[in-house]
Amino acid sequence: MRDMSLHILDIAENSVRAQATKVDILIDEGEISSFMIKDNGKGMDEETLKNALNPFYTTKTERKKKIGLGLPLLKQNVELCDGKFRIESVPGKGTSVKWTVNTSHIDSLPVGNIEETVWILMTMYENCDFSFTHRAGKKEISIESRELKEALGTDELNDPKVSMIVKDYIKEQENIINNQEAL
Amino acid sequence: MKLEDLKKIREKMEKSTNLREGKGRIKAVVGMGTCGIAAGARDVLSALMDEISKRNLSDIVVTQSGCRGLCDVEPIIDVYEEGKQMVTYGNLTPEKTRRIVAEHFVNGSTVTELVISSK
Ligand SMILES: Nc1ncnc2c1ncn2[C@@H]1O[C@H](COP(=O)(O)OP(=O)(O)O)[C@@H](O)[C@H]1O
Ligand SMILES: [Mg+2]
Repeated sequence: MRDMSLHILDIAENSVRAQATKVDILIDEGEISSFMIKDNGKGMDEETLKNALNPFYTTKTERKKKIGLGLPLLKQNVELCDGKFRIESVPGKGTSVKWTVNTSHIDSLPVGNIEETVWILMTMYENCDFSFTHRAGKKEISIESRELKEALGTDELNDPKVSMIVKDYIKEQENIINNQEAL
Repeated sequence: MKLEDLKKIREKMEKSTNLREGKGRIKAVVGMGTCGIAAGARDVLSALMDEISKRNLSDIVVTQSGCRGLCDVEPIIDVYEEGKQMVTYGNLTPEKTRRIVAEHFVNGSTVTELVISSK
């Protein structure tokens, strides 16, 4: 993956496939940036968890090629830049994936287009709610898809028109974070 | 989230027209597994939503699916249309995706050279 925003989309996709109804995403940017994706999905037992970091393991059976790459790819990218990667899971309770990156390391991946990832998660995964918190220095933004659904009066955020309203809002919020240095 | 933000969002919603009606004439499903995402599926999905909303198409439902095992032809979109075969478009880019909206969804003709399978 080219950047963290794509990894986040991929890791959050695992949560949705694990029947999560709520996924919390946190980004805290600094010299050491930290990331967290926490879900209330079905979780993993010890055996599955151990195997989940093995690039040729997947419990998904609908495909021809039996490979699961998402978690091993992320772990590798994190370790390449002296970051720490950690995954915890409790069967029946949920899973959390946390990692840090040393942003001054030459191999550290940029955050990338996070607004696009958050927008797609919040509007295209109907049965799951997402919360997104993004901190950078003294700035912090927080977006809850449940609150958006209530304000919009619909759960169907994948309606193209509705989805675009959400996209504009997420962009506006992300601008608060990105204009940090200009202020 | 701030109350005033939510209010603004509600007002925008009240002003929006051409919201989707019913189940939709066409259902388009974008593959969002690891291989899809790595190959550019997020930009494809984004272009698809953008083009549909710009053209005011209110009878198309867009969703996503997990890995379909078609890793070497990602990004892909499956198109379901009542009374027709399911068509899978592959090796997509945002530009090709916009073409599918114009030629297939609006004009009703399958973009044959982008099809990788149909059943
Ligand atoms: N959040 C999660 N909750 C429950 N199980 C998970 C979660 N994330 C990953 N897994 C398990 O780990 C496996 C490997 O995940 P991953 O590396 O992303 O590959 P893939 O999603 O392609 O199978 C999954 O098939 C699933 O069994
Ligand atoms: Mg995965």
